[in-house]
Amino acid sequence: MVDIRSARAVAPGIPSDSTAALVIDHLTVEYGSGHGAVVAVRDASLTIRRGEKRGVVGESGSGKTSLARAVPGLLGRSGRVVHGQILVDSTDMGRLSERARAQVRRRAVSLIFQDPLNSLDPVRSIYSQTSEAIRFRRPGGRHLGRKEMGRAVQTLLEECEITDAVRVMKQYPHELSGGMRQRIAIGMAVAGDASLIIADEPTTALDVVTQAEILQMLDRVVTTRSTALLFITHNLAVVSEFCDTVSVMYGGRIVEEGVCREVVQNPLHPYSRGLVQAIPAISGGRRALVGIPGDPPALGDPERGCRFEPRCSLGNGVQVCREQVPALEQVSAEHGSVRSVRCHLVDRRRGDTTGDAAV
Amino acid sequence: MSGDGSPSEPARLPQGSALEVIELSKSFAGAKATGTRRRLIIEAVRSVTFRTVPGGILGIVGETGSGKSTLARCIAGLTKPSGGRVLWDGVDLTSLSREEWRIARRQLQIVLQNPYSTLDPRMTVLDTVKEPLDNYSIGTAADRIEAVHQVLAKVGLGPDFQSRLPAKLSGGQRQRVALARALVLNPALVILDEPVSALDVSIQAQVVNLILTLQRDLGISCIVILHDLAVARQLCDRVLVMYAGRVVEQGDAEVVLSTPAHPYTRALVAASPEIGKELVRTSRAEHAGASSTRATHDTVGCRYRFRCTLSRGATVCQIEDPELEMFAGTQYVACHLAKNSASDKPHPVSEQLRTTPSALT
Repeated sequence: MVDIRSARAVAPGIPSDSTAALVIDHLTVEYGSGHGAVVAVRDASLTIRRGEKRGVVGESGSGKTSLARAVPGLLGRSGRVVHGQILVDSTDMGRLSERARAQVRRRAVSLIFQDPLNSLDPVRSIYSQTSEAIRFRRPGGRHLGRKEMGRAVQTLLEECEITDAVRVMKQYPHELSGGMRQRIAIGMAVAGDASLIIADEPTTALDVVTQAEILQMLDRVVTTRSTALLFITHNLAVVSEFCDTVSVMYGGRIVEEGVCREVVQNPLHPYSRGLVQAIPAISGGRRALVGIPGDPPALGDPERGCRFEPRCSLGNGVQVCREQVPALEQVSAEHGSVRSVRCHLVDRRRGDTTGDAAV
Repeated sequence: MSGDGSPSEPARLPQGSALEVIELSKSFAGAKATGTRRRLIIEAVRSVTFRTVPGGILGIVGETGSGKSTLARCIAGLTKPSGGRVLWDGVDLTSLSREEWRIARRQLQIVLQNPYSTLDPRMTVLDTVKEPLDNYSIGTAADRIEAVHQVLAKVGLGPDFQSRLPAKLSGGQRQRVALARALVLNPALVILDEPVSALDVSIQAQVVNLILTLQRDLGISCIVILHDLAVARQLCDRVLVMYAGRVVEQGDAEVVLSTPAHPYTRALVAASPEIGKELVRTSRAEHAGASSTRATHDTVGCRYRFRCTLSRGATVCQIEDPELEMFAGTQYVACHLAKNSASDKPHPVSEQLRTTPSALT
């Protein structure tokens, strides 16, 4: 059993006594079994407190989505948690019956997916779906009368910055733009008093202008409710603008964790550093982008040593990197913020990069 | 737009083959409007005029539905334009017969967006890249294989890749194969539709660098369709910004993306996520009813006026569709109000947006 009090808190500014909405402790997620088994997440731990926006960033196959889906227990038929614990509001999800877990999903954890069409029913009106979310998720929602429910739906949609809420309520998902659908999906996610919202690439399918609007709106609704947010994305730039803290995943493992601003300004893990350098910038001059050579690892391969070693500018060919899996170690605790890095050569890295601003 | 050629045409245009697009339009019949028999006409591309500079990389940027892919398909002859002309070396491509197109296509290749669906899953890398050479019966069988080896080396794939099937390739490798297939005919112009959008960031940087290197070494011209302005900034010499089928701004990539003049380009630049930037906070009211679908059906006035932060119901924006006009140097803007608003703000707009988003209003 994990002691929540001692669980690592990363962010400064988030009161350390605010309760942990989510504790993931040494989580390992596997798909399939026997020889064909693929380990998607290995030994991942993270804690998110209420009011904290945590970004989990990684490329395809890094395990970020499996990590997020393990929390509500939505890994599908072939996926399962083989090790570790997940605590939502101090409740151990693994010990619950399927029925009790569904209860937690309804009340405490909300999900937002990349394609809002997956979370909206195409044959039911927006009113019908939104009111259902309020009825089941909001305490006392069951007892709302027709008029009260109408008002509640309207207020909720307006809170999600839908200007023409009364008309939109009567419409169906196909009549709305992608941005509007995502607003409604977010509205349904915050309809109750969920302590944790999990958003899996919520803006990836949207245009940049809409993306910026949705992020602002999401920021507002989670901040006013001091909900914990687990924000899954491949886009480090979005995370850097939006989240308080970030966990960088590579090959199923969390390789770096810390306060967002600090991680993007001074990434310590060679992979995080590579990611930052690979992101093109609009401002500043035209410069050669630095890609990371090679390709991401196949998760089916057994893990020997550091997963990033073949692509690493520091560790490629270094014996310890090839043979030993590095541990996620805390490297600094400046200004009350914690930075952890999974790299054998982090001391060397830190020596190189102290005071080095973002590339 | 005036008929005397493109506004993008600088006085000192380098000599060589250039692609000239003149008042190109493409409309589609949309769904029937409820209760009527009339089909809505969607003007996906509306009177677009521009010219490429030989050996340059021209970016076409805009959001989903802006018409950028339709424009690319019209240029490549995959979609028949409804109006206008595409001149290549003085030859009008839109009037070519099938056989003439077959010959012209050696010069003009297109790489489609998704590297996961553009390759035949049953063909090896060698066969895939060799197929265009076979189609045109170029050289002997041995020559063709040699040509494939050379082009694979150029895109950074070793000889051990030639016997692989697409299933055994990563996204980045597939995109390299797609590039090799386009380059094996030594084209003069390559159109790339979203070449990096399906790739992970670390691989995206590799492919951007590869395109830059190939373009420089082989001296080809490129037209690149992009939705990511940051990639456009790093990859392109010049950019066209499209909105609802219209070119709203064009010019040097550096100028347009660092000091955008059209309110739409400004909004795009301000909204593009970037490391170390604060989340832009604009008020929702500014984008009320912000739907480009509505703009595509609209026939009079500026199509951007529903979302515009400058217009605010100005009469001129409601009745007249603005033409592309010179804004400064090589920068051309289609906006009635951009010039007036720019004179108030001597500083680069993007910087202002970053610090005071209210500058948008």
